[in-house]
Amino acid sequence: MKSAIIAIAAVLALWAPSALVTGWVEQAGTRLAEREAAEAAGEAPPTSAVAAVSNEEYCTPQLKVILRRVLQSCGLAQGGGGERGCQPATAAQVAALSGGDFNALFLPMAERAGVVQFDASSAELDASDRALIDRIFSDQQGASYFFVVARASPDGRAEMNAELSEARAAAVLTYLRERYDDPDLDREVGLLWLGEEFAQLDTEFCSWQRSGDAATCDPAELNRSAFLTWVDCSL
Amino acid sequence: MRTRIWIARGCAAVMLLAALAGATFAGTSTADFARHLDRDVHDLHCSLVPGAAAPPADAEHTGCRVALMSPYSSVQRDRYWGGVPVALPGLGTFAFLAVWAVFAAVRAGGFRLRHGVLGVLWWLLPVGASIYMGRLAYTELHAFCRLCVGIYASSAVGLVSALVMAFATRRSPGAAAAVRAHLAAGDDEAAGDEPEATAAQIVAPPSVWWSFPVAALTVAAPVAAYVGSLPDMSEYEGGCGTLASIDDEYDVLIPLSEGPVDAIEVMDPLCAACRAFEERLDASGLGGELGRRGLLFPLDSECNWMVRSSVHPGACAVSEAMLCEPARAGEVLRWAFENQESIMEAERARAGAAAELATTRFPYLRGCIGGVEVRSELHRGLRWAVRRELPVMTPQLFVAGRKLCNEDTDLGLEYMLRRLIASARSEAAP
Repeated sequence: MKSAIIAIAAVLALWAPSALVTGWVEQAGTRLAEREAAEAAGEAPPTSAVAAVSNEEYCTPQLKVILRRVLQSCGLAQGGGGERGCQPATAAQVAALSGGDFNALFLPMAERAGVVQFDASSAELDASDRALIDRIFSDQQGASYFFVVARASPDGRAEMNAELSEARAAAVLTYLRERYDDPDLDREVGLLWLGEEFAQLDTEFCSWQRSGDAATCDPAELNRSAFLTWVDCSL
Repeated sequence: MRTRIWIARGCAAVMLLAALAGATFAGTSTADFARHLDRDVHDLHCSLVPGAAAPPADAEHTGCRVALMSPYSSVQRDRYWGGVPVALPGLGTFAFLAVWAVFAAVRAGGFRLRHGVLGVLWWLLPVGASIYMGRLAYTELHAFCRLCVGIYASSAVGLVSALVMAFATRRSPGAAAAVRAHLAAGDDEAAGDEPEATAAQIVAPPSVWWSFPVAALTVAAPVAAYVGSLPDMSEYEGGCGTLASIDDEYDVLIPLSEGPVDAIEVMDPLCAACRAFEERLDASGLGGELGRRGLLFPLDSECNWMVRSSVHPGACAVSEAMLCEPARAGEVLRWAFENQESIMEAERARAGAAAELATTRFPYLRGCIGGVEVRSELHRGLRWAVRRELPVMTPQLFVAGRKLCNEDTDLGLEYMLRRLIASARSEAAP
């Protein structure tokens, strides 16, 4: 009788743990197989998000259409090959907007934008200009495009102002090339030079980040400038 | 004599209870481990009440997870996915000790000192294992799990009972005297339905040779059952996807270790999972095989637009600190891993505190963290991830461009990483 009790205990001790362990492992195997089947059938729950460029709320379909037009027509979405930048007439044409509406596109980007102010008849960057460019450009985050929209004040001839605004845009791009070892630069930086003809900035932009004397701001100073901004839109 | 027999039986009963409790704790721990064989994340039974629902994420519960995910929770990890949980032989051991306790209770009348000593030796097995594992938990993991404590306590109680039993049997009377004393006392064993057998047992103490094969079998059988029923993981041995390119076109990957097989780790210096992954990689001994480069991917909205909130506040500043001097990034990373909680706490309390802590610890970083160059470089690193459409998570490890599945970064690390390395080596061979 006693030997039988011990034998029963021994058999139980041998059988029960093995049976339990087999059950636990096989249950896990069954769950794994079910999950694999669900994944194969496309019924698996979504996994974590995928890294992507930013796409802010202000990127409305209408804005994207205009941006796409500007990028393609002005040679900005072609990886740096060929002509870069939009001349005033082209910009107005592809934007298909009034100057005021064109400027209004950038209003949601106030935190990401700045105005590099040049001296009259100059396309030279001074220290405060470079500091502003650095501050804005280094804060790319997930933005895909960096817009440089150069202008000139209406003083002087229109042709000369067109050339001056082009030189101002080019000065910013040259500085970026020299300062940053970024292989994406040509894919990202888009230049528009508007001369005096299109989308002059009004004093609403005086409150934005600006280089130069922050105490004074008049329309002429404001438009001797290159307007910089990252555009957080995924096109 | 009779008193000694009853003391021995009492000890046997306590041993039985201790063995059953130990088996329950070890079984629950094994069940928790086995549930992870479905490659998913599960709650744990982290309670001294077997089968009780998992409590909220308190310190003890964290201790259970730390213990389960530690390299010490299983053995043979490079041979079997996840390895064989150390609690599994514990389950078999306690099952055998329960049999021994039944044996001791039934045959107490025939026990001699050598029986008691053997019982002590049997119980020293779980006690020795408990001391070893407890020391690891204290010195290496700095965390205790309740189930483990239950196993330690059961082992200790069983050993004390075995010692008392050995003490009670240390001066057993001679065989003839024992029979006489037993029969005169009208002991159940003597007066029961098997008086002859009982007398024979007392005169000839019970053999214990049976216990050795039974002990071996009760430990080996569950292990064999576990290994024999493991799910097939071969489907995942090739990894989970590949990198579009392992090139460092932005010059943003920082060197982490040297080794023959190229590897890229997507990491966040303030991510606890990254720290744990680093520890597991060290413990696996496979780190030396990998020439690792790190891509900093801070889960901190201060610089990373892909996360909506700062999961790890201060991670941007610490990442910048690593990028400032890539050759010395390792020491910044070690410091960050060691101080993750305090860095995040400081940054939560005051923006910019993480950068200050880093520059205080590493003065050469002064003037670099927060600068335009390093911030731009950090963003370029994030765009490196965007171009490859990586999941927004850390850690991720790519071995020769093949991604180690996320589910294989903990329990299955040794098993899968060894196979990925072997695969990379064979592909690289001429």
